[in-house]
Amino acid sequence: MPIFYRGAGPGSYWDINDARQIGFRAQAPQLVATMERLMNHIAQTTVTSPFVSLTRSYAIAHGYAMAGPGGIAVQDQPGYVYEIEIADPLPLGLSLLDPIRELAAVLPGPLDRVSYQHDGGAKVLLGMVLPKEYQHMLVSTYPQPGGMSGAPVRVTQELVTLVRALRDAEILAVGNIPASCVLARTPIY
Amino acid sequence: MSEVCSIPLQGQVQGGDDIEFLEAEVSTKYDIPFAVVRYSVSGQKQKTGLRLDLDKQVFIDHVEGNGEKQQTMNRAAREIVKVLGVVLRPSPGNVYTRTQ
Repeated sequence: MPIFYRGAGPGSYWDINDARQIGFRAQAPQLVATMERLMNHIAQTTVTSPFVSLTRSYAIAHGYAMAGPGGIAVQDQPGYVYEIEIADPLPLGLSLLDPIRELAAVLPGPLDRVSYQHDGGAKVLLGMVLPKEYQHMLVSTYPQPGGMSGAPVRVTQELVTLVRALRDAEILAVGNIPASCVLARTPIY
Repeated sequence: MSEVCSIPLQGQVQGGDDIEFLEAEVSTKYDIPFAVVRYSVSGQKQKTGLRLDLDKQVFIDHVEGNGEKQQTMNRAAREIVKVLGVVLRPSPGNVYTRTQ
């Protein structure tokens, strides 16, 4: 059975509340899981969301667990990495979405007038993935037909969502994850 | 050596709507794309901080308030990332340079 992970930083909801006892639930489970909300959840970290973020990567969960409203995780104040095992068939009322697959299915086709692709150079993705170091790649001018463009690079919400989802090896849960699926909660610092 | 590095933000990041950004804490033990931002509201330092995703340049935690407050937060997030990007960029004389 696949294992998923979720990080909980010091002072966060899932640090204070033990998901081994109560399972995981979204902050706004009453909302319909639309594509717009999926993109906002991943790209903008929207809190009011019907999704629970999980990851296939322990390292990603570890990173999330290292920072919380209480501060950076240290020995006296650790964060936690949850280990979650979800069997197939899924528990009643729970569905899992791979955001890449979901979004790819509704992206505009090559002949559509509006594209999700960027119109910059080969290093635009670096600017999206590592803005601390490569922010300038998103504001540089790149050659366009007829000369250099002075316009900023076009970066669509769809492309941002794809990149962010890949960064976090992210899987989204819709519905409650039962406590019985939560195998472990490991302190980290 | 401390596992947490605090970087002052006062005077470098503009607040607004009664919010002032005081300092950002980052891990020196692990290279993670998150910081915890300490802030005050109406001059009162808040007990909890705000997680900032340095790649997405958005706060993971939110402050209650109107749209203007949210605009302040969004602008500040980008400014803080810029400040941290300069401060944490590895260089021989940089006292904040991470050890790992």
